[in-house]
Amino acid sequence: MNSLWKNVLGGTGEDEEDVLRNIPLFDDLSRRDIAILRRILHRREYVAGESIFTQGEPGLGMYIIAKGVVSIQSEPAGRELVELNDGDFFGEIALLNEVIRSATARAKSDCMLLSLFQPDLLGLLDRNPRLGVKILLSLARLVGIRLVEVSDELESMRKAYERLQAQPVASEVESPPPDHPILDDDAESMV
Amino acid sequence: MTTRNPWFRGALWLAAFGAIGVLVVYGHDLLILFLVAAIIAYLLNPLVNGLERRGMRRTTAATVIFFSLSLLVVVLGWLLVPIIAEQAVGWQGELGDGRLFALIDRLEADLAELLPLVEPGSLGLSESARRAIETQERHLLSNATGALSMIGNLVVIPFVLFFLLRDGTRLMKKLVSLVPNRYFEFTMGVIYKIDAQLGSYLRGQSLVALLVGIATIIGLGLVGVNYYVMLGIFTGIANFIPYVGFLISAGLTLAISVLSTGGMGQILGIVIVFVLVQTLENVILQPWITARNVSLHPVSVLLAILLGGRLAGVVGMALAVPTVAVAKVILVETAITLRRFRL
Repeated sequence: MNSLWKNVLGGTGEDEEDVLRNIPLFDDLSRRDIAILRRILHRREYVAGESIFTQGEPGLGMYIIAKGVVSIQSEPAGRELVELNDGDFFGEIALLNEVIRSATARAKSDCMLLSLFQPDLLGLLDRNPRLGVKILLSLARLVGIRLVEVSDELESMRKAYERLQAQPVASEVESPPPDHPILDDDAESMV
Repeated sequence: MTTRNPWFRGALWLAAFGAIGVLVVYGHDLLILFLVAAIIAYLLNPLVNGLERRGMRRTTAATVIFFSLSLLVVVLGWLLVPIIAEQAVGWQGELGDGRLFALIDRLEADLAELLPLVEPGSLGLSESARRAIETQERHLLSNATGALSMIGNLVVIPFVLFFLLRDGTRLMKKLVSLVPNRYFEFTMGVIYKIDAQLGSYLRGQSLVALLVGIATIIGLGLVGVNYYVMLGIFTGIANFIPYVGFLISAGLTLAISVLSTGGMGQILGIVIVFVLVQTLENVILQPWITARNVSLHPVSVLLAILLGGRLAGVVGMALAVPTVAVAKVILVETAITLRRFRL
């Protein structure tokens, strides 16, 4: 009830500003920048288990976790790909390019999320290019870091795969049976 | 929203719809004031954004645009109202004596003979023309309550307009925050698509109407037609009706010229003015301003105009096409997004 009125009446601004200042994505923004940014962010609350977006649906923007735990899952099995916490963001590909969501995002605990949509970001870039570029740049940096992490992981998996291939045929009998789900799935996600 | 109790949520929705119902039934004239302010704010929003882009704060930008508009309205009013009032008095004197109605009735009868779907008198053209002239008379000249309510509008519309210019986006955000999580992204998608299409359509059409009106005023003024200011304004408004809008205003202008001068002397000049303005509109303005137009099939345009005319006379005819365009964009975009979200 309380949060409903907060929603309707605008809520406590201080709160949201503190949350935004602690998010790595907005590290180098000034107090005034944060105030401008707040105008285009949508604040949403989710209960544990509620889905935020579903794999296969068109995506329009990204979400920043102000508070709570979010699970990114691959459908249809619902296998968890990664768990995200306060300050993390997800769905950023849709922010840069309108695409189909490649995974499902589900709230693991009660969550407070801030969403940023592509049309609003483009509008901000148009109205206030200086701030828009700052946000884009730190977004690009963090996406770059993620790309490096994924490449490293891919490289270590490739090495593990080559090691497995190099081993003598006899040991293959001892490896897990071919209908084991984990092996198939991992091979798929590597592709 | 964290409120999960279905009874409570149901009661909230019921209360919201109840409030809307009460507003529509008891305050529809007030709603129209807000709607007018909202449309003006929507049309002017890019200008405020433009000033913000130049480093101005939102409040300052909204204030600058608001006062520029007020200044423009006051100056135009100061320049034009005496002319319009004078022309309106002459117009009423000349048209009130029945010659125009006889002409319109004859036109309507001719139209009924040509088009089987039009019954004589069913368009109510002369009726609405008569009513328009009478209301004009009441509003502009004699009726004190009309003047009072106009002053009321002059306070309410600018007041709402200023705050919508400044806080419109924030207000929209508040409304969107009430949408349930499941439909949140879907709603945002629909809103963005509708905004992108309607914004360019309505702004483009308004700008075209404004320029066509000004060009017609200048042209008819040079030819020396009586009541050229009113005819120009009428042509601008009629321009919202595709295909036939300018035919109606050209016909009206020719009729008035013939009636008021008693001769054919100005006909060539008038035809040249309308041909020039039409060329200007179709060759330069439309391609330049409305690059991404909302396309309507000619049949739906005709249907909309006839229906608008039946519902609200000449004003209905002018509003019909933009209304249908708005409805079409909202329906189509909602349907497309629904399908993409598989809701």
